[in-house]
Amino acid sequence: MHNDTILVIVVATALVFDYTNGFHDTANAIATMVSTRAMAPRVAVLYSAILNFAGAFISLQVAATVAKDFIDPNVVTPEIVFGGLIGAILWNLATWYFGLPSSSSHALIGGVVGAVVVAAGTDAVSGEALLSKLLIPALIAPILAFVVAGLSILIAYRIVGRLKPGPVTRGYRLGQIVSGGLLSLAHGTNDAQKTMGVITLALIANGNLASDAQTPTWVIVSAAVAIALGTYSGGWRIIKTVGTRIIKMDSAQGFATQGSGASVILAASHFGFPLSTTHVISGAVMGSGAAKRLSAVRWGVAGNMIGAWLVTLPAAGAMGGLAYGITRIFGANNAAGPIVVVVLLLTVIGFAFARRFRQPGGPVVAGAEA
Amino acid sequence: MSLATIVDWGALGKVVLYSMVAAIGAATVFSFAIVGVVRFDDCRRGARAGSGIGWAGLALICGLIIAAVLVEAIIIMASK
Repeated sequence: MHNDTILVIVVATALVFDYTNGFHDTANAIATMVSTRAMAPRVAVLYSAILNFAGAFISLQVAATVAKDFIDPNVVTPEIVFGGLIGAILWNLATWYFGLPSSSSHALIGGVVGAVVVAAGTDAVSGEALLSKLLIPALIAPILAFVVAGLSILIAYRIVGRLKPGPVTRGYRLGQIVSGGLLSLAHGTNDAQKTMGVITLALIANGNLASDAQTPTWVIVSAAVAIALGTYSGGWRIIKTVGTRIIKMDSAQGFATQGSGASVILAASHFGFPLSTTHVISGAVMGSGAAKRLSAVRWGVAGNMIGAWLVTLPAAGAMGGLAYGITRIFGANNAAGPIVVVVLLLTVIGFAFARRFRQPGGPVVAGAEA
Repeated sequence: MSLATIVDWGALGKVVLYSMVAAIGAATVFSFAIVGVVRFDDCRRGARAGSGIGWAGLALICGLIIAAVLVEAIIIMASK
């Protein structure tokens, strides 16, 4: 049964998620560039936003949905997609509020899985797929990035150790601009397509598209614009955490971090493992700091981040399940449910922003932390 | 089912190997490019033409390798 009001709400919610995804993940590409002054903060977010936009068009082989490997696609309805998106948005906002880098992709998968569990039970979720394609790679990715970045920086220091620091710093800053651009491009390719997949899934579930249809151009363009706008807005709170709170890095460490992150992400992408850019970059930041001196890493901050990673799936799942449950109180195929959930979401967002802006020091703004 | 059968350890092993080779290789080559540029500049200032050409050659070769790695990375993104 079609309900175009629900579909419009789902599409709008997917684009809001895409915006928060860009906003939340800006740090992955530019935090190290900003902290080593390879680029001015506002120029860095503009650079990253443009490359995220371009990345959304590089590969148009869109998956049916980011969660398709983990759930039974036959049970999916627009309300389930909506519940999953709300769970992911709420988790992204909660981690932004506390300045914690966490995976937007895991939040989206967790949200959708939570909504599916409430709608159709645990039988509609593939535990094996979650373990093999998500949890095990999620454990390996940050450790791998840690080791690779650590070895890279040790080798780099050994090679350039006897040179004058000025030209070396300028050289690595140039390298950071290139590797940061590569990360932004990869982020646009991976993450904008998740939103395209979610919107396409909702269009199919609502009967607006055939199951084998190509993704419409308006979906591609709107997802690219939303992630680029989110990236340009810049999640400065998380940029501060990744760029300066874990370690105080120099330009060689920044280059080693970004180069290692890009290598791990592209190698994993090539072999079909959907790694979290956030986990990889954060692991690489810790690795490049620990290789120089173990005490250079603020392990308390690192511990908080890892804690957030561990609870991302269950927390986003609980929020997604709750959002779907509230939606279903109003009955199937009734737009009142999603409207009530959106009003509740806007209230939570308004409360969080008002509280954050009232705190001493006020909001974190571009350039203030660089 | 055990972890050994559920997880494609072979593919994960390749991810580990390729990541290490690419990241450590890129850091090494880029660092040598910096060495080449800095040493060439030192030679130019000291008017030592002979060894300057060698350092310039090192920087050029390393720059070309980095450019090739970037092109390969974009091809991987586009073909996934």
